Amino acid sequence: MNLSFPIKKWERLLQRQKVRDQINAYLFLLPALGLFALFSWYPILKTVLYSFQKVGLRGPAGWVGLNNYVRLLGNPAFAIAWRNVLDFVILSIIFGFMVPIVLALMINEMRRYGYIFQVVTYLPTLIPVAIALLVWRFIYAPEGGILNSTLKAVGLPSQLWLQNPKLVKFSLIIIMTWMGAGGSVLIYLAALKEINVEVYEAAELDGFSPWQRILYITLPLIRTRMAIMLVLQIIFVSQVFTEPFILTMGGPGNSTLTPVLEMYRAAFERSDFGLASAWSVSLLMVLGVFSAIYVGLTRRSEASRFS
Amino acid sequence: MKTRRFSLVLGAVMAFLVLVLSACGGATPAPATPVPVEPTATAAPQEPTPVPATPTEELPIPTVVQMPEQIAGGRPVEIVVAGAPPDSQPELRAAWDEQAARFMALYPNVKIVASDYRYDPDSFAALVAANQVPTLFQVYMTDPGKMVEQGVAADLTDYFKATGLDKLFNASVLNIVTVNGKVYGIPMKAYAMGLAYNKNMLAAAGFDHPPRDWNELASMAQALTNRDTGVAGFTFIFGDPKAAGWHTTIIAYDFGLKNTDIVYEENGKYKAGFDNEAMRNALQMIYDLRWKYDVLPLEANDWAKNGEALATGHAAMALMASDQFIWIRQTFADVDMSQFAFAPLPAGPSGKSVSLVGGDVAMISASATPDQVEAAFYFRVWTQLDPHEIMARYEAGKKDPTTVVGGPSVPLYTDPYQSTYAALEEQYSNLPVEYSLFQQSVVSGQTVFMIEPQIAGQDYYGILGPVVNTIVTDKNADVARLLTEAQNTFQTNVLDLLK
Repeated sequence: MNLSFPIKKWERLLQRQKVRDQINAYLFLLPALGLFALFSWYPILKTVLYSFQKVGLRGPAGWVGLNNYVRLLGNPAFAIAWRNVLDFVILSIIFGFMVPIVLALMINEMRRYGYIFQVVTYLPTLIPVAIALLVWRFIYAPEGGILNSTLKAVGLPSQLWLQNPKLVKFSLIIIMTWMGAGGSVLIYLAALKEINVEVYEAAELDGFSPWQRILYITLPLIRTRMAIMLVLQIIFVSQVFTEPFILTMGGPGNSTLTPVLEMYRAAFERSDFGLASAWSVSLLMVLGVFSAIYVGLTRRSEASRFS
Repeated sequence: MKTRRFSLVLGAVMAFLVLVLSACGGATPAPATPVPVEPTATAAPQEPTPVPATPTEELPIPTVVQMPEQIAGGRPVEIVVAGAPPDSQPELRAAWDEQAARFMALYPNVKIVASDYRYDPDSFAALVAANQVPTLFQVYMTDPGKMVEQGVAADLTDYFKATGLDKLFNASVLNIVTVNGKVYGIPMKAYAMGLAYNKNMLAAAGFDHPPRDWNELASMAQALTNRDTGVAGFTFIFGDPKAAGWHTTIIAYDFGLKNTDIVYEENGKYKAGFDNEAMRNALQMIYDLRWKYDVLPLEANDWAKNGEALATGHAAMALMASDQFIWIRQTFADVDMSQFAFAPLPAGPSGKSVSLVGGDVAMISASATPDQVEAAFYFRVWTQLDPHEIMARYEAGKKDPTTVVGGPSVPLYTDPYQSTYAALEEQYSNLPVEYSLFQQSVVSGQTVFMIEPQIAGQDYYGILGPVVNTIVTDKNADVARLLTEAQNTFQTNVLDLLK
């Protein structure tokens, strides 16, 4: 600050007050900043550094320049894993994105017992993932599984849900939608409840059918929220690991191989932490783009709320 | 308003449930913190806690190792020993603690700290990074080589030579822990790969002997497979890529592949050579087993599911390690083990069958001080080879329903000690699995032991695994093309970039 500028006594007081407030704010932030620095920023920095080193169980053992990246990009698994992620993302958008919205709209329409369905949709989120996947494995079992038994009972052919390379991604997306719907439904319900009831009353007066009301009023009003959820879903699905790891182990012939799964294998099966870090960095770069989009959308949504 | 209050209460309950359940669901077991074992003696030397007071000469097993008078020159030394039974098994833990106390009474300057850590690749990396690897730890299956490669295991060659253990252990077993002539671990248990099968199922289908070659295996498996009841005639691991690569390599060894084919040196560079006729024939057999004979299980499997298939009667024959019977007995307590038998793998085109040796190995942390290495080495050797301790272990095992003794295995030691040891084990054996066929085959030389690929073995398995998985799941898989691509990837992406 330019201290030679003549400051009146009360202005000086105000300045000190602002600084004092800011100091308080920073002090409150300090523990959180410390934790972030220790558990997020420092590991990220270390990962980037490790990606340029040869790192074994005993730690870094020398710089290897771009060798890890050469191995990363030269490995056919890299292209396969990212192509699988693209397939997963597209499938999750087609089959998984609208499900929570539809559920939220339906729950919102119910006058009295909506909260029961709210609880029911949220229950899958409470089940530990590993246990849920054990149950799903039983559902998808090719011989004697619940799904195939039901299909046989109605005369349809049984499918190899987790063994057919063409079906396996779809099967996994169903599981991920089932598990993730509850949280998204809650968020959409909150967004729907923010909509002013008067808008609906006006629409009813104008003779809108419920379907038109949803299409022309509700959806546009939660549009930004939907965009935010879409970006979050892409970020989340790109990191899919548990389902391929437990159910398909990378899938029939690498069809459910994902970057995080490859990263896990490089790190814990081959103790090649340098290569795993290179995988991490590739994930960081791709997801960084989507995170930037997410932040931009959130800012816009907040701004529009006050306009 | 009633609904609002109800919603608040519901919300609070759900929030509480979420917090509680997510905390439970997300927790991963941390390596247990070491618990010091209180030595029973402090001042005057005391009698060791109860052990049969029979003089050593009258015990049915001889002493083969001379324990030293003093360890670490009498200096105080503390070691952390992993593998102690957890507190949930109090009798076993008490026996373990008593054994440690007996050792500490023999060598008062040694302090043994128990740790119930069980080796697990995920948590092991964290322990190494934090420099908290237990002084003495155990490693299973194909991982001893990895430990040596990563520089985590201490070199024990001098101790082996000093105690004569390098001559006592069976050479093919010691091979698992020897790299460049140096020994890095103490074998505890050795297993061999072979064909495990269900005698009753084979008898019911009219077979009185296991298959002697692969064509016979295919036709027998066809007769044994029943899709309606969910029985597969034959199973091997084709799901988990690394284990799938391992099993496929064993099958390929049987078809004539040699470990020197997989990676060999030429003009100072490493070359991959597993794209050959032997491997192609093995992969073609696997393809036929799935698509022509339809005898394989349909679901992707790993080591555990492979054994489970045999144990629960969902597979009639399985390519399996001989010590997995112990796991089956411990995991599926009601299974009748006498229905199983272990035979050598079907013979390949050379007329011989092949087996791979692996084992559980005790290793000592490379970051231990020389005193600690000495104390840990002698503790392990003493618990494994001291006649009183061997008898104490068998007697304690008789009383514990979860202890399993016996079953097919590879001879750990050389004769004459091995015969005495095997006869003693036979007396206490509670695993009625028949394995005479396997033993005869080993003794007669009909079964040949091979070793795993030594260079970039893990990467090789990881690349071969998905090939097998594709063959088993895609009817239009082009076996020759997939194999050639796999070898190219291994060459350009692993061997050429080896630093």
